[in-house]
Amino acid sequence: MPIAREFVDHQVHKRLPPHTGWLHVFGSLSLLAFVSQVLTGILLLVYYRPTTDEAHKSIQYITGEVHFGWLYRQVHAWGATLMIVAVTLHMARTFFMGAYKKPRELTWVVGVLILLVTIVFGFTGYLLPWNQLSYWATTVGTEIAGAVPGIGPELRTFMLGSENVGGETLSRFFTVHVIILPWALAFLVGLHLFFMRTQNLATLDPVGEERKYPPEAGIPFWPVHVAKESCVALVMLGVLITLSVTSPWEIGEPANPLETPEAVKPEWYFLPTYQLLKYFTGSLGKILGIAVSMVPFLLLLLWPFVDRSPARHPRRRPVATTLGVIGIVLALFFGVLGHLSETHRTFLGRTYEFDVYGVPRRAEPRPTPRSNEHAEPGHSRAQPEDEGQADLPDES
Amino acid sequence: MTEAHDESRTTRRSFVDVVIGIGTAITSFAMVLPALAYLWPVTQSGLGKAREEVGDAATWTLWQARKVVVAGKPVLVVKTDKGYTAMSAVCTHLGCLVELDPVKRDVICPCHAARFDLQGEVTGGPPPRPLPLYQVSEVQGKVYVST
Repeated sequence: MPIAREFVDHQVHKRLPPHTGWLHVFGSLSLLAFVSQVLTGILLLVYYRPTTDEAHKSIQYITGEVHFGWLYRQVHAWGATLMIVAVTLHMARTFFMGAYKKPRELTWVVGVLILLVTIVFGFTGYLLPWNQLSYWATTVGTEIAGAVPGIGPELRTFMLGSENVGGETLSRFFTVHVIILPWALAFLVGLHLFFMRTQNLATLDPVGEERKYPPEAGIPFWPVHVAKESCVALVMLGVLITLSVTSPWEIGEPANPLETPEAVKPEWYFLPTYQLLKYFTGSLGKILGIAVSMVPFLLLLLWPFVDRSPARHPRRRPVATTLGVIGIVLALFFGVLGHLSETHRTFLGRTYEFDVYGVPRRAEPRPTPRSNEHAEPGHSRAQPEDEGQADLPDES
Repeated sequence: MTEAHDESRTTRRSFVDVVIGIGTAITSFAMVLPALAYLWPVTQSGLGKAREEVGDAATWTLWQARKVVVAGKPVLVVKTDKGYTAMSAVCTHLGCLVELDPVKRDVICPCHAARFDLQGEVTGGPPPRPLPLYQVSEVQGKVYVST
């Protein structure tokens, strides 16, 4: 088909702006991460059972019995983290280079929606192994929905399919994770790519003054830029496999609605919001907390319409650049605080106990480190003292 | 570049292209193969040992025999005075399922009057081979049979 061939040819040999370089690889990296999640997700779907009776056992089965099951499960779990990292890096690059400005505002808005969908992917997927951390992290994560003014309790019940996290929640989250969100993301990504390809990448020239560069000065997408993207893609795959082998996610203990483990926390990408919400107490406080946590996302979504200055180069837009850096620092700050809160740690020979707000106090060193203390939510590096924990009655 | 060189000469570019091509092919292969292995069903014979729980020790009386399915095959499990014994329940003659003879305390096949002892050895009748034995163990009050 000559039209198709022409189209593909044109796209493949498109010239990108002369400044296009290694910082412009994160978009394709995000796409690769998504493709990886879809493929490994499909494989996991073959053996996963989405009921409260069988979910945990099916994970055991996949990890222990299915050929290479362990590999695909780990790649999928770590892939979620990598996808969020890639999307965030891509977003940061776009932000600092002002690429969201006219005429690319819609591309950015779609991008923020992609970020949101990615996060919801992570949240819904987290419940599916149906282990203790899945169950309680979901309980904690959905609890805040109940505080939304007016519709709170109904909203929460709708999300959970019941008064509490249970079989109905598993069904709903499974449906959302496996069919609704993949289509939503495919559509959004398609739109995002369509816009991006139609308008080509932004230069660093101010809005309205984008200089046309001669074709010889542009970077050919194939093979030059694709070569850079492939390098980074291979490195990412290497990191993914390395993490899967050296730092595997636990199967964990089956969900027990009658027993809450200590210091349950959501996954790392929720920690900043999670920690921030802790400072807003009381019924009025909670509403304020919800509003405050929504501010960053609303700001992100509407940013191209808030920032109307024409400059794109980060050095010529000190206000936006500073705000961006502040945003990142704040996110890191609250994230680290969230990570340290409710833990017992030793720094430079002194032991500290961090309370729920992240405030440290001197404490006595605990005689035997309990494996809960340093556990990353849902993800424990297998260490000698941890081995007793994963003992399940039916394992042969 | 110029077209001055003749087609049979290997340029650096074409060499690198071939190397990248081979590398891509190997990588793709390496990624597809485990996925195919993953999709291949887990079979007991492929992995060796299968173990299934077949009952509560407390509910099993002495010299009681039960027929159970282990790894898709029928197995005769008998509680004897010397412990449990388990053997394939498929008669090696023509495939009928065997029973325990409670009087003689050995194993008989109703089809052609074959007889086996409690170790599966043929003691009478037409069967050409003994009944294969299974391993039985009792763990925490439950009885397990394994291949």
